[in-house]
Amino acid sequence: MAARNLTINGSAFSAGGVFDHVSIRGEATIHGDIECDRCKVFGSADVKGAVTARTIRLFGEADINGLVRAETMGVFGEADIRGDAHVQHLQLRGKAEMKGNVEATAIRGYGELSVSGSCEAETVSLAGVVHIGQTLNAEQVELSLYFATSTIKEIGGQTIHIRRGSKWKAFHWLTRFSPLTATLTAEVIEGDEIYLEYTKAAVVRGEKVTIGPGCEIGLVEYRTALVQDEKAVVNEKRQR
Amino acid sequence: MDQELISKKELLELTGISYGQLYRWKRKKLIPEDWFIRKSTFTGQETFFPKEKILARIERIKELKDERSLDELAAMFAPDPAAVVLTKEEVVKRHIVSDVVWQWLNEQLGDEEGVSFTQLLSLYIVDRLLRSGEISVEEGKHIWKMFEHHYPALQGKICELIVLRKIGVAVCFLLEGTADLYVEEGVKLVARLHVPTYIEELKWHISEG
Repeated sequence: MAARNLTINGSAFSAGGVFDHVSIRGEATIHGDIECDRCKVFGSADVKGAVTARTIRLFGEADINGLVRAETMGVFGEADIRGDAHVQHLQLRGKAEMKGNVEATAIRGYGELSVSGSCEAETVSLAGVVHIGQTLNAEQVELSLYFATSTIKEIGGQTIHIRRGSKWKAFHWLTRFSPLTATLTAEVIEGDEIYLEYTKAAVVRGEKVTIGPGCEIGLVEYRTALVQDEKAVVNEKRQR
Repeated sequence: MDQELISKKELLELTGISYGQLYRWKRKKLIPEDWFIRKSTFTGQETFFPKEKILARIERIKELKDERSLDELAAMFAPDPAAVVLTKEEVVKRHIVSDVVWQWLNEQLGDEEGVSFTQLLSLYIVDRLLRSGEISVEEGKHIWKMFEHHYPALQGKICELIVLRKIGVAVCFLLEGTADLYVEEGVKLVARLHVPTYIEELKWHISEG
């Protein structure tokens, strides 16, 4: 069946359905599930159901009440997702708030990512603010902290690098106006290779652990090596 | 259900795996979510595992991880049985169930050649119960019918099979998830089987050929 397109210019309601392309310019309320190849939102979309698509690109604002499944999802504005998200590539250039769990292959970009549940991915490389209510579990975690305090309950993975941001050059002119105060607060960080800066954590456990400047750590357990910056506080260290 | 627990730290020391590996296997669903038991201790939150199960699982993963991909392993351990269909011949050849039980299935199937995973699983579980000597053949038949009827609704979920008996009358049912059971006096808990364990065993039988 040749699927139709759904195009909304202006303001409209739709019941949802199966489409080839969905493009929303303006304001749309969709009362059911959407299944499509490509979905683009310029403006504002309020989807009461689930969205399944090959690619989703959000340039404005989108509220999605159900599950989101996609190969690639780009958030260039603001996304509010109530259900779980299964996305292979999540590209962030704005703000994404997910109330459920997130499963992805790669999560990259900058902005603000909030996940109320757990977040699992092979690669997580983000600059900005990250909030994760449960566990961030990834093979590689690269966080550059900017703007405000990030909170992650638990981080687990192979390589975990937390830096106070300087990686993204485009940010420099913005950060000129506010002093660099961004920090990360976590309960537990566990990995094979861990590098931390400006991180407050109760427990850090790993093979090779580097505690960089600005850290306040309750307990560090390491196996092979521990390097501690002179501007870091570690209350207790143990070698296993 | 009392089971011995092992802390994450002890587990890593005992098995020699790293945090990275543990988290990777969890991500790949080689280790089920419900084995991660979070408890508050004086050092904050700690994660514990059911000792026997996790040790067996990690041994199995370590044995197999060089020969098979993590995705293949995940398919093997997943509580959601793949669309496995065996022919009658294969079932007999692999000695998955005993002859008595096999007869039931044969009667039910009639001329059909394929045996689905659910059909096989229900028989496999009943077969195990019969072999343990806990139930009679007649009871086994009831359990089998009940399981085949209700299991599809629970497919892919964690569930337990419970068999109770009071004054010689047996009652069986499926319980979604794992919960504590409190039964009246005089009732005997005949069997309590964690279905995913049997799914794994059965898959193992099938894949070994």
